[in-house]
Amino acid sequence: MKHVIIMPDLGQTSSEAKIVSWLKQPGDKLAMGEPLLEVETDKATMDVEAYVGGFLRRKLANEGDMVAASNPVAILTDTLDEEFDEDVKAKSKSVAPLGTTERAQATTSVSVSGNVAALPAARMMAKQLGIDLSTVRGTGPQGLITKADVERSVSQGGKAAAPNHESKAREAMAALTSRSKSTIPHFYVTLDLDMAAAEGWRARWNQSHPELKASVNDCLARAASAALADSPRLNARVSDGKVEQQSTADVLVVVGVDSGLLLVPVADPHADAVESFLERMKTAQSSAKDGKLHAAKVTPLLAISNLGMFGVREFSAIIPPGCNAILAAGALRDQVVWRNGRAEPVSVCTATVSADHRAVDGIAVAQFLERMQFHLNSL
Amino acid sequence: MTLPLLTKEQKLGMYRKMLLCRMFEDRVNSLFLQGRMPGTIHQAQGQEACAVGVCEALREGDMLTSTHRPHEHAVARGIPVKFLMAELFAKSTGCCHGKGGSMHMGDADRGMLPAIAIVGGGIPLATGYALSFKYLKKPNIAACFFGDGAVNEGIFHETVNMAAIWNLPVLFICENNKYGASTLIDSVMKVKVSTRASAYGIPGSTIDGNDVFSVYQATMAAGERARTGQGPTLLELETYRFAGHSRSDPGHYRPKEEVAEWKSKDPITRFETHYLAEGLLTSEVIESYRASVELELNDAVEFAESSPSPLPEECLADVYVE
Repeated sequence: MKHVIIMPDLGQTSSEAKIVSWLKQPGDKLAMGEPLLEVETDKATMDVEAYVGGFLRRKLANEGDMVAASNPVAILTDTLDEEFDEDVKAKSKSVAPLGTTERAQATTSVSVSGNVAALPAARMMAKQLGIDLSTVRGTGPQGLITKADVERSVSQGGKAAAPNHESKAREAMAALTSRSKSTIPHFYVTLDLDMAAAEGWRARWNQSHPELKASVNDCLARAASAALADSPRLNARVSDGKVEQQSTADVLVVVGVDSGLLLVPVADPHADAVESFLERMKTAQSSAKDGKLHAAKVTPLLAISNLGMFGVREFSAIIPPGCNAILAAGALRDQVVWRNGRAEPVSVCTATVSADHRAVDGIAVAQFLERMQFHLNSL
Repeated sequence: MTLPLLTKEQKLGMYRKMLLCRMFEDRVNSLFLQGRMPGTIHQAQGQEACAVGVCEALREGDMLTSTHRPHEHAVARGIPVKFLMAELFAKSTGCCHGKGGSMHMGDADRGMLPAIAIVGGGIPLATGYALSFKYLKKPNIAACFFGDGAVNEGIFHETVNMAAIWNLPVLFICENNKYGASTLIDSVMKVKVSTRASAYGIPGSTIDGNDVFSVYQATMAAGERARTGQGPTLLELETYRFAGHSRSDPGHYRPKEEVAEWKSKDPITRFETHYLAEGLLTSEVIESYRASVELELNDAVEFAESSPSPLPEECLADVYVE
């Protein structure tokens, strides 16, 4: 008589196991309960025993193979030379390994709230970066998503990228933006920021620190952070009816790379000395571009995106999930304004804040921009 | 107290119970390996003498609480194996109507509260039963099984102390199988479990947990104390589980020699060796017992597999006592 040996459901967090080694070869005799093969689960290496005695006739999987629970791994027969058919469909009323079906579906769909298998560290990182885990391809055991997977998914120019990496990144962006735009009630507030004072400061700084120059974006990030610290309503996380005031004014800087956009969290950009702030900005942005993004300990509520370097006059951006608002800055342009009864040359930057009306209203955003102007004047 | 001598029938009855426990666990393992039964399970092969020795000393109306490793306790307490098997198959005919599963074996109407998987969780419940027996002046006692890992839980201390000061009719029975999951008891405790009893002013003793008669006699003596208003007793039964903590635990933390040594102290083999020599058992008797247990288990599996699953609308039934 033929007996089909299956992979038992040995895991605690997954329903697959890897075959480490065969302890018997075809033709070998086994007693009931004798170990047949050694497998590696997500937790440990252990033996799979034969539930009946007999002779091993067929090995249905090789060493190194991942086999899902309930799948056949071997055929045994009662005698060494009896004929048997190769049909290995489990004849028993097999029990569906609990949880596997949903898990498999979740990883192949782009559902935003699916039950995706990911390590806690990866989950936290994805949350910080506003990444939808269901769009991340897991490379850990049994397709588990690791921190490295999340990093790779974000840093689209990654070196160890998987073949379909770029399309994955696009998919991630598609999922992220459509989720944001369809669930967050966006509204927009636009203001021309007077950059004269800031540009004056920047020119002086760059002259005295040629090795650590400040960009317009650096000035905007620092002033925005300082303004955020003055804007408690914008810097509070609202979820489930609870208001959680942030103690630091963190900013998410949008950085462009060859294949897309990166969201780089910067902790409290206004809080330290200019030198260390500029160094942190540079490190964060360059390591992000190199695909070496490290999980930040902060989850900013304000993002900054800047298309000024392309001469864009103004634009409005989509709020990254998890943020209350995003500031979109255009190019600096020189113009003449009529002020105090006379024409004055000024340098302006048109800033448009897209904000989540569930969290803040127009007055709060306007006051934030007012504070930002103040801090640009006093860099 | 002098215990009455056991009759031949009692001895053979305890032997068959141990066989039923062991073969039930082996059958469950086989069903699991065949993919016919779902879920991870905590098995107790090797601890049969504890389950049977204790349960044999309990009477009708007494109450037992158990742990995450309850299969053998339930078998030994006399809950028909078909109801236990059906529970493992998550069928509505199971002892918890298919909604409890492996770690909640039990049936209060048959003298065993559905087991509690929380470590130490059964200790206060048994003591609560003991309090009610005393309050209602019933002649019954309560007993709780717990592992060596539970002894360092706060609830153990609080409950044993309370039971001691109120002289409650409860037996605290520690199945010391040396490992709390993968933690060696010696690495987390400086004294023997039974010596803790002196701290509460109650008797405590360490028993060979692989000798069913030692366990039975110790439990009978402790039961007698409890039934006559002299209060609780702490029994430490030294035993060993042959398998890992659960099906997903290969038990690599235990030296091979240690496992081999304890397997040589297998309570069932010990019983057989002793009574084959004494003439109570013959190899024919052993074979016939094994065959009858095999049949009982075949029936149980058939009963379980042909039973209906619980209905979705029954999901909220049995959540509260009305």
